[in-house]
Amino acid sequence: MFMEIEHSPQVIAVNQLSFQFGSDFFLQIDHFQLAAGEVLGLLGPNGAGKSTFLRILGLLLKPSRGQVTLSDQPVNYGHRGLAQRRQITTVFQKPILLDTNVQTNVTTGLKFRGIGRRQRNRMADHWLDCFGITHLAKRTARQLSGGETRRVALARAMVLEPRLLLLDEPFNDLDRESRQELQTQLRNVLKQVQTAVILVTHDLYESLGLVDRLGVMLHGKLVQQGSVAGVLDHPCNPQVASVVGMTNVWPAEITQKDSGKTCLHSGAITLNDPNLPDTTSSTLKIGIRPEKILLKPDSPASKTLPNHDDQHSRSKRYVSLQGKIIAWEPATPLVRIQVQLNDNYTSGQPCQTLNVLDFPERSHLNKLEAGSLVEVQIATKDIHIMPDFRHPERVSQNPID
Amino acid sequence: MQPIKDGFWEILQLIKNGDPELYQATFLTLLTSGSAILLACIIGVPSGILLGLSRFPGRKLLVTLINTGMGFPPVLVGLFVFLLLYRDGPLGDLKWLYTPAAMITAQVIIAVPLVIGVTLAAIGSLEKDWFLQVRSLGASYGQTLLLLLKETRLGLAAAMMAGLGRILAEVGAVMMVGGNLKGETRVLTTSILMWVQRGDYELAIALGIFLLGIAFIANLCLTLVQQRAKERRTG
Repeated sequence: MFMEIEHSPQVIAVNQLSFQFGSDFFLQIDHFQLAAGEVLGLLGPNGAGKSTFLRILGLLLKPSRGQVTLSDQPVNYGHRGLAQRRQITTVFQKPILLDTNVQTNVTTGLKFRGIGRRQRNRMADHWLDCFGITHLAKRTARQLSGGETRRVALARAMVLEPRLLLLDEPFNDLDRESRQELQTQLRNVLKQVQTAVILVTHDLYESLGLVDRLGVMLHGKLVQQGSVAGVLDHPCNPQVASVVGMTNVWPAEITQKDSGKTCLHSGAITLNDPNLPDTTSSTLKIGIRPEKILLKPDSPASKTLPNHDDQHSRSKRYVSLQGKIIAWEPATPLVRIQVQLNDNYTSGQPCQTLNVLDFPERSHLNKLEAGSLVEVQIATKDIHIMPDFRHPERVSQNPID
Repeated sequence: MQPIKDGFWEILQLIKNGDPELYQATFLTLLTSGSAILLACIIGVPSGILLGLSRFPGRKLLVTLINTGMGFPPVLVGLFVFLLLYRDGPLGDLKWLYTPAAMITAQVIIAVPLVIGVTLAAIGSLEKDWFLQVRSLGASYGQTLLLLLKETRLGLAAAMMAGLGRILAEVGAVMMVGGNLKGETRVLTTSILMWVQRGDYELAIALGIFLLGIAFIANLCLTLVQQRAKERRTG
């Protein structure tokens, strides 16, 4: 079936980008692009190079090599690139507000662009309202709380109507309530505009409501990009898995049965005829997302069926195991449950402990708590198989604190 | 205590009578000090900004030299300027010696390190990523500079006040290169020195009180400007 996909205009694209600090490379990104209206979440541990990448995309740091194009035009990092630079706005991890009142702060960027006073104030009023800070307009900017400062920084950025908005950990240092409030406001705001957005974050879950795509950076490289579901459910290796919150990762072995069928074993989990990934790596691992594990109170009936195959629909195949809850703690809005599995097919190996994230209501309904015996159900499609590949670390120091 | 009380009376008399010597000395004080602080700021503020923003090998050495210069003995500056400007000196042809020009030169050299030093401190007080932030808002280089002056205006005003203080207080160097010539290079500070040497302590004290009054008014003006700028923040 031939589908015509309408391409949104491309805002920014990167080709063979590299940034060097010292003798070794710090950043190396082969291909990257972002379309108008797309919101990309950029994940990765500290030192992965996210902030550096953002600086380069914001035309604030010149790469050592590579091409960056803005709307298909090559970018200029010097003073000739001012018009281009003015299409991109960055909100930094620690936004710096000017030593003046909030209103002036928000209109400063517009003033640079030569916009008249009345229009400046009109635009500022609109965006102050969007972020709920109209009452702070005449306040001294440097006397605001953390949450208020961030709102001013966001209003200051959005008022410029950038084609590309770069947010470097915008919800840092905020308490949970402010964070949620700000996320809601940002979500509403982004719905109204066609701005392409890159949101760098440490916290996977806070960004999920805002982003359309995810990118994962490790050791200076963009190791995986794709749809949110694609990256979350199918990380390309265990390091990416740990970044995207797939906290159940174990080594796996392939065996061949006499009947010619392949079988995958990982501790208590067995998969028949699995879909193996296309890889040259000799070792494999499996990964299971903690949200995809279903816990039910243990019933005697299920004990007799270790692997339940539903003949009618392949997608309903699931693995059934027994275990005991060894820890139960709140992880608002969910709960984190650790389950130690009973069955252990490989002697000498410690029992697998599953990390599960569940809804508190469901746990309460099933009367699950520490010490409960449970039946664990995992759909086979949720058991992700990946090559056991490790990205090499780089030698360079981080040029940005 | 008596000489000080007498001094107060004397200065009031001198002002009431419109004493020409007082007014000449005051006029020359304001002329030379005013010119000197303006020139010192024109030279010192941009230098301080440049130095504050740049990074080059030997920068620390330069900053140390400037810090040393802030406490440099003014009388040595006076000697240096004297040797430059006297008849057989390299700039003798200017014939500036014993004119206000020489005094202004000495005062500028004394004040510049101080102005640079305080400006440096004002620039240094900006956050590390200030320039990056302003650049990301789309400022051109000119716009960045103007905003920089605006953001550091309190520190820059402090630089001006510090420099002016040092200039108004100067006596040794301006005596040496000015010669304390009545009506030409006799300023308030040199007058005070002269009257003490001649034994008229009351007059010296009177002139001292007057000089303090001028310094106070000058600083009051600058402080009012500085504080108004502080209040403007809330606009």
